[in-house]
Amino acid sequence: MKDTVKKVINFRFDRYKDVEIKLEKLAAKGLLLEECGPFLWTFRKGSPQNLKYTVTYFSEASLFNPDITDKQQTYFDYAEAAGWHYVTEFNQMQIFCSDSDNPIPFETDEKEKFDNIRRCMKKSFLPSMVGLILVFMFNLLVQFNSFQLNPIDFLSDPIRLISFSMILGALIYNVYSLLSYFIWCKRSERLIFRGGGCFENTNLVYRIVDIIFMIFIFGSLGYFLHYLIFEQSWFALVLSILQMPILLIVFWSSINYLKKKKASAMINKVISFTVLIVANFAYLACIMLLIMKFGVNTGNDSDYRTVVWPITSTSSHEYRLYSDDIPLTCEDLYSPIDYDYYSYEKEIASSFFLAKSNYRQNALPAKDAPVEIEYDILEPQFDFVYHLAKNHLLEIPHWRENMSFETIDNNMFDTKEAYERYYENTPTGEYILFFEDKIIELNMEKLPTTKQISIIKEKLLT
Amino acid sequence: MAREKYQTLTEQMFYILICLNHESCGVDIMKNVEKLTNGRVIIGPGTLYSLLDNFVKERMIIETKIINRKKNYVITSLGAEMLEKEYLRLINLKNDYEVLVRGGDKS
Repeated sequence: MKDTVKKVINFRFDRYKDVEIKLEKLAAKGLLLEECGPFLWTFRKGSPQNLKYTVTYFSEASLFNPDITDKQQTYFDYAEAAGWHYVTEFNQMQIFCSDSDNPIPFETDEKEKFDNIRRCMKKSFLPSMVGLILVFMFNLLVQFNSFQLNPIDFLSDPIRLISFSMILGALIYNVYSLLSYFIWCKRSERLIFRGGGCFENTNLVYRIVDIIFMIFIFGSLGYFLHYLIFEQSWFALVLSILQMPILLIVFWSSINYLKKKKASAMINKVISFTVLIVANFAYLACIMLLIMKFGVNTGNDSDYRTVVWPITSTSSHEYRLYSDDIPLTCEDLYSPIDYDYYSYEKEIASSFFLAKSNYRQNALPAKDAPVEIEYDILEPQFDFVYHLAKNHLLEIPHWRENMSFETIDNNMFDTKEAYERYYENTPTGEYILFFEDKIIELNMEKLPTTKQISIIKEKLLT
Repeated sequence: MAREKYQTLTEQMFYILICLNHESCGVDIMKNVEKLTNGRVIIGPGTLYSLLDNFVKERMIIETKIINRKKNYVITSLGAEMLEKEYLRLINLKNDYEVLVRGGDKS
């Protein structure tokens, strides 16, 4: 039987009272704290004990210190003399316990205690919070930029939407944590000024916010993983799940290795963070390499055959020819076509906001390649998404001034609005067709005949 | 800076400085204060560490030597001056109380 138990403890610096009470209750049940970490705390199974715990902060302690420093040892000696036995530490947080029924309080000057907590928070909590907030804001900015560049792809991609909402949630939570820290400081200052102690955050609202945040993050993560399994591939799932533990193991190993080598805290910090950043890039590079080598993807579990096709007289390239089921083919429009190397591909991306289905029938590159076709069917779920998609499709990039859109007769495709894209005043065969609840972007190489138009309507609109 | 921060001393600060008229280590200070005040003033280990650390930074006390891993401290002239100031402040309080509340002569 294992003699240790791991428990998830969601700890915040200003809720030390909650943790002290929790540790005391667990000790009474025979679970004695052995080690604490960012989330998982280790407890040793033993006989039930009536212990008092105190959670304090020591500003000079650090994850990166190779050993307990002399000053920290002095701190422990004072604690021991007062009947408080050192249990464990995490970063600057120090936990002591006492078996006395009425031990000397660890802190007997609330002003000093408050100043000490503030000093510790300035050293670790505030920089990491501000750092995280900046990273999240930068990430959201990048994602917003990608949304602006192509709202259709963004809004139809559940992975991007989930990751955006998770990062937004994390940003809001971090800003909330930062604000609640400043509120805690203000309240504590006021209480100490009136002769009281530091404000003890046992407010139910904070706990509810924490629970909501946890449900949101784990719920989103669950959906994310579910999506990866069913829509992408097991391989993508494994890579995503492994990323965080691998990086954490690398980071912790680096810290522990340098600690063993007695590197100074500063050197340890610089090297370990550098290792973390390098490991992250290396991991991403490995994923890219695997994808390039094995074509990991894409969840496209459709059948394909490979052909080696000559590009020039001396070189050739291997192509995959898919045989997805697409609603409208070149054969429907231009039959008969005597050609064996078509690739029929479909890609469907669907989210809460928008479903985008891309279909294409491509031939292999050749001077006398037969006709090809490509079309997107967009099904927006909301009016604002419809308008965003419409604006994006009719937008003319500033670097393509010689492009324009000309309206075409709505009776042609039974549309609400319809346009054909022109390039240097020449029709391109690219149609953007707006219907009541869907948008079709149709790319044909030849202008369709009346008969072909009726086939298109029959195949794509019914 | 020291003068501004320690314009008045808390009881715990006052007794620590009193104890440091003689060279002592932190643990001895903690025990002495409790003994001197019959347990009325108790200094917790966290507070003791913070106060000694701050006093050293403000040069009110200095670290003298380390015996068996125990750091010893002694009060400086600045610390003694602040202690004296606090003493006079307390005397003034006492005198004012006697005159204004008990109606006795101000000595």
